[in-house]
Amino acid sequence: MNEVRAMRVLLVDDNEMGSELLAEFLALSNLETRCAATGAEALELVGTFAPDAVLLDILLPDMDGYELAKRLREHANPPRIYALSGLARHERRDAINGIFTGWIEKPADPDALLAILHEAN
Amino acid sequence: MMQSDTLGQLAVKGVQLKVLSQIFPVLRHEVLGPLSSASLAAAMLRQAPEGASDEAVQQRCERLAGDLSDMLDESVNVVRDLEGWLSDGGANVACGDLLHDCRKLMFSHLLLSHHGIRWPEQVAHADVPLFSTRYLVLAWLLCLLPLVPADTHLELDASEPGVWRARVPEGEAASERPPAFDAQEVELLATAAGWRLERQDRCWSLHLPV
Repeated sequence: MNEVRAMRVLLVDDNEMGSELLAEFLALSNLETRCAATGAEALELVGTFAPDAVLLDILLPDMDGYELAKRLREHANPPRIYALSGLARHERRDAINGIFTGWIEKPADPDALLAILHEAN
Repeated sequence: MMQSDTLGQLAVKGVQLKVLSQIFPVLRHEVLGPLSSASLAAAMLRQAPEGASDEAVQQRCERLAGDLSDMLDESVNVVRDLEGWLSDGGANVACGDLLHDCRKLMFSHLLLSHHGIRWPEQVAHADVPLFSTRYLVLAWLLCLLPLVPADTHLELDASEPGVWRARVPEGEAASERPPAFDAQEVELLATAAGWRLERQDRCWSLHLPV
């Protein structure tokens, strides 16, 4: 019998304490998580961890989240990519459509965040 | 004379406020970061992991309360640092650090405008006044970006001591909107900060204060 594996979520944020907290919160809901503090780390992890979803802070130290999302999309099995950002809705640019699966404003309601992740799975 | 000095100072402040409005989304993002984590920590305090012992639950609560406190402290510091946009504390900053800061501050503007900047890999070392230079560099970039053709980047060169250059590639400007800043406004900030702006057709140079 095939065992259903837990949903994998990659958290990309240079705020490491925030990332670790979110990872702990998601783990309590039986999601498997990894954290990356930079775009380079995220690109490395997407190959080995094979996440189902990526929660991506769009302001990273080494590359912008928009550029990172485009590169993550080039992966053989691209994950769903959600922007997690303090920028307001009207501050997204049109071109974000098609790059991000969704846009979640900070501070995100934890239960709503879970619902978004489960809904798309 | 005093009247014109005051008007000149007001004009500089006016341009600085225009700059501030352009980078405001990034400043707000910075404030929201630790608050967002604090909000998550508060939500987690209301949860209890299934099957955990009383002692484990107590330890978890103490850890989360500590994290929450740290994040609120961080938020307070971020908010206090906003003062540095309104009053000149007299701090100096290394040019490389300043450009790194500007890169972050320009992020939301670039995201919205579809414009791009190629940031310099090498920056000649010098210390410059943080308050006036940050406003000047941001205005310089915001003024030039609308002139950049589609699918190209504004090229910055800061490798030479004493002068920073911004080059606009050949081609028709991609932006249909007028620039948020005009050259006179950039010149106003440059003069007030002791810099000199040199404008050539497709290259604007900022000469550092001697």
